[in-house]
Amino acid sequence: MKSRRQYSLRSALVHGLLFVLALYFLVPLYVMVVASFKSLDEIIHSSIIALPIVWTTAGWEKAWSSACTGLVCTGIKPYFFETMAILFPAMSAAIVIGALNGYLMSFWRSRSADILFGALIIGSFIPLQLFLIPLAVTMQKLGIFGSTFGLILIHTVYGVPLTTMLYRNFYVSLPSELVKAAIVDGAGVFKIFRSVIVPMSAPITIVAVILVFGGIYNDYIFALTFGETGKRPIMAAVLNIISTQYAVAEHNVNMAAVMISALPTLLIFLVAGKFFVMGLAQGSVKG
Amino acid sequence: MKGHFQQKLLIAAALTPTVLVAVYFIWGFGAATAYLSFTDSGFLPSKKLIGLFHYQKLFSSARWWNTYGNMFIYGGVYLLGCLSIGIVIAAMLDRLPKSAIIYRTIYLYPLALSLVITGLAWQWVLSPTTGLQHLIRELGFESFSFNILGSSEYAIYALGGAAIWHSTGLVIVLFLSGMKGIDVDLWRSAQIDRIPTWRVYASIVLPQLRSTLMTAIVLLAFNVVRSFDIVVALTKGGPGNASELPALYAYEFYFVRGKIGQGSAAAVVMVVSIMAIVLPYLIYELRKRKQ
Amino acid sequence: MSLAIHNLHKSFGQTPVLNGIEIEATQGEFLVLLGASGCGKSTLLHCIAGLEPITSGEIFIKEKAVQDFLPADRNVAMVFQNYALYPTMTVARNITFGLECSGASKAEQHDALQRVSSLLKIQDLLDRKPRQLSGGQRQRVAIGRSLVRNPDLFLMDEPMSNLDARLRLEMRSELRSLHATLGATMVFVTHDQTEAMSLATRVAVMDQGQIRQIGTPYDLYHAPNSLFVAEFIGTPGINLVPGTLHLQDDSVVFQKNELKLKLESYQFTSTPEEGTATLLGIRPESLIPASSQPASDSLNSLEMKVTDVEMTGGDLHVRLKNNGIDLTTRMASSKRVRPGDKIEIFINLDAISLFDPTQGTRL
Repeated sequence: MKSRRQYSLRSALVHGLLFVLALYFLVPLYVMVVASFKSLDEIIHSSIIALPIVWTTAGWEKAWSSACTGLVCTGIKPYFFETMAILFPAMSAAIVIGALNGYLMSFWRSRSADILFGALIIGSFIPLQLFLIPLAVTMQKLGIFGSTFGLILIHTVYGVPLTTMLYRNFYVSLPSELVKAAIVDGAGVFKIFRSVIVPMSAPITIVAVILVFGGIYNDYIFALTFGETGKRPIMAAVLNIISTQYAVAEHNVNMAAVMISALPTLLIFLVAGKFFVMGLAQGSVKG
Repeated sequence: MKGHFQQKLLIAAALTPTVLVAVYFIWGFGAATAYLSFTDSGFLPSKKLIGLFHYQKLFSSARWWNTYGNMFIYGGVYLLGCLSIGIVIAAMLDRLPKSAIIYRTIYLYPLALSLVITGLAWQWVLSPTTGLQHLIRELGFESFSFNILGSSEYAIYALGGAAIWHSTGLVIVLFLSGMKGIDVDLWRSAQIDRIPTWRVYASIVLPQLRSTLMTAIVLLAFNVVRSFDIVVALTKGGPGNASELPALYAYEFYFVRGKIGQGSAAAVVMVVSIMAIVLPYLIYELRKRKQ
Repeated sequence: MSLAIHNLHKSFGQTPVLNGIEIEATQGEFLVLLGASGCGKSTLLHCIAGLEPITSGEIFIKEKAVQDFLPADRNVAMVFQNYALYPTMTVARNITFGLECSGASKAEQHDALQRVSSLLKIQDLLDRKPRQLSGGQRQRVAIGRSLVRNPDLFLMDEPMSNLDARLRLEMRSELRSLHATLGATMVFVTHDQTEAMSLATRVAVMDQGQIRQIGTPYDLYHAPNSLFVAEFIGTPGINLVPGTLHLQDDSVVFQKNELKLKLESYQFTSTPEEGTATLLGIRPESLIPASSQPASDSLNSLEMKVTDVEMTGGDLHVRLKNNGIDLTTRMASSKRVRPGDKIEIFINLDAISLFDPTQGTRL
């Protein structure tokens, strides 16, 4: 039998290890938060670990409204709103289409359906570099290269495989008797979707929103390639802000800009952590 | 019978647009890029075929070999780091249900952040002027030197470290939920047999989580191939091209150097390499499962 | 004819699941499809409902050929094993959903709802959601949902399997009275033969995609046409004694060791040959202990030794043995019987069945 001391020793070791690892995970965040609330003067003169002597939001204000990317000094604000203007339509479209697809696919259980499903999933994992040039050519031909609409379109197109997969797996897990009962009741395919299935879809929709939001908001490569100067989605914008050189590097502003960019997804994670985790688990259940 | 057939037709028809779009935008574009890798495309795509020219050029380029090799170094570090740290943390959290929530939040939040943010955060921490070196020097150790981002040899490991920071949470989530699915009775009988906890994990729990491991490896492997954002944000591929990854290489050749054909070849090699590793592994594991 | 099925075949891909099903049910019948798991009874019900397409054959509901119709056009209603109530809707909407789908006006829906909910005594539950209901209440709502549309056929897929024993008996009697009140045609699927016997006007015993016998519960119990049906129905199971048939004078005699039975009243399908191997089937209650019957024709009796006594509340299940013959009989539990006792058993010759041991057919 293990003695009490052995148990506490082991417990202490475990907690100790967990704590040290926690430091590894927390330090970058801590350092950025702390830096963003310091004045420029303090940044230059104090250590990165030290808490601000004087907490100031000057860095945040400048990052939001007057930080410069190249020659334009509008802060991150316009890029943030541009990102939202792309994100909400694309996310809504991807979710609605994915839900419908997932629902229709849940009717169709056979080898060929599984193959199609598998192909869809594999397709959603392939690096976008493989699509960039044909995508660029297509966008150019359609005259939407660089436009907000263009970005909405491609985010929708490349978001649908993910949402389809999420919804299909969810709907397949619902009791099949429900749909059968509705069929016998005389409901048509779309009536069943509207009246029976959609009201039950809250949990998976939250997961879908989290994953799609993250996917679009955190995207860089489409932002970089297909965004227009002055209107780039946020990840490309924040990188530009950081890379813009000053005589004296304004780290507090830079860190504030990074924090502002990180906040939306971070907040979603903190608020809906449970669904976030569900989304990860779901996203990894493949064919 | 007729009514049922009509209904099936309706469903197939409603699914057709998505299928067509997916085929065009994913498989079609992939094939198009593969085609381009065999053409003489420069700044603009061209249809003229020139055979394996780009591939030959690619594999006789020292820069490409460095980049391609980086992918495996980075991939190896990333996979090993995420899996080992993640599984150990998951095992420890499995034993502590109550404090788990706080720790879980701490280990998981980086996943919510974009890879750009990840790269920027670590650039700040690793940069000699603002980060670790600066801090240690401030503490009095004037001669302390830590400039991993400026080291041709080790910059790639910095990338790995930052990426591990980002993705370990995924491994933790996957394995924690897998571990929760382990039969409680297994634990009880192990207790009766006096098997030490770590042994239970190593010899009993983990072997049961083969499929979880498979999922984790496949997801992480795809992350490796897609790694573009983090490189741009953390090292820009530098110093020079020391920490460059194929995704970055392809991009540069597409849009900066105006050599679409070459870039396409790089993209194709990149994807094929990962597929060549992942697909056989998947088939092997799935076949094993059927037994 | 409320329901008629002719030569129905169904396969899933290459696997046949239903083979040549023939059924005719008149208006007001309570037809039970009885069988073990996998015999195809649920699949058959799904085919009648239209939830599954059939491979070949015809289905007629009220004289109309419906095999090409989707469920919505067949005017049938179905109660599912897990009731399948719509979880996000109130009980009221659950019940009227079918009417909603067929375009009935709000007034019509309201009237139908009142009628059905008062019949089933669920008026107080109308604003609740399914998760707030007990098992029995859910079943009532499910029945209400099917009643409200006045369908030509009521289909039920093992609706009682999720209820506990007492509730099951309660719901059985409620269902019987409902059936009597409405005079509707019902097709009911179950694996529980006591349930089948207690509810049905006729039972179809199914095995491996085929109907082995359709008949009234009485017919199935007393005149099973095959070993399969004889063994499937009845608790405790039918006694089976292997033996041979001999022709003696003008009659047929069954013999096993010391047991010799002169079969005068038995209806053979064809005169058996001398020495035919056979299985004698006799129900436990057709074995009468001598103490309750005055000793008469010793040809019908056998002295047996008690090997085991099982008490089941009102009955005793008594196991008897005599030199290679094993029988189980039923007695009132007030009787004093112990293992080792010797009892003389009379065999009621009007209640026996004879079967071919290899084919299982009735002789």
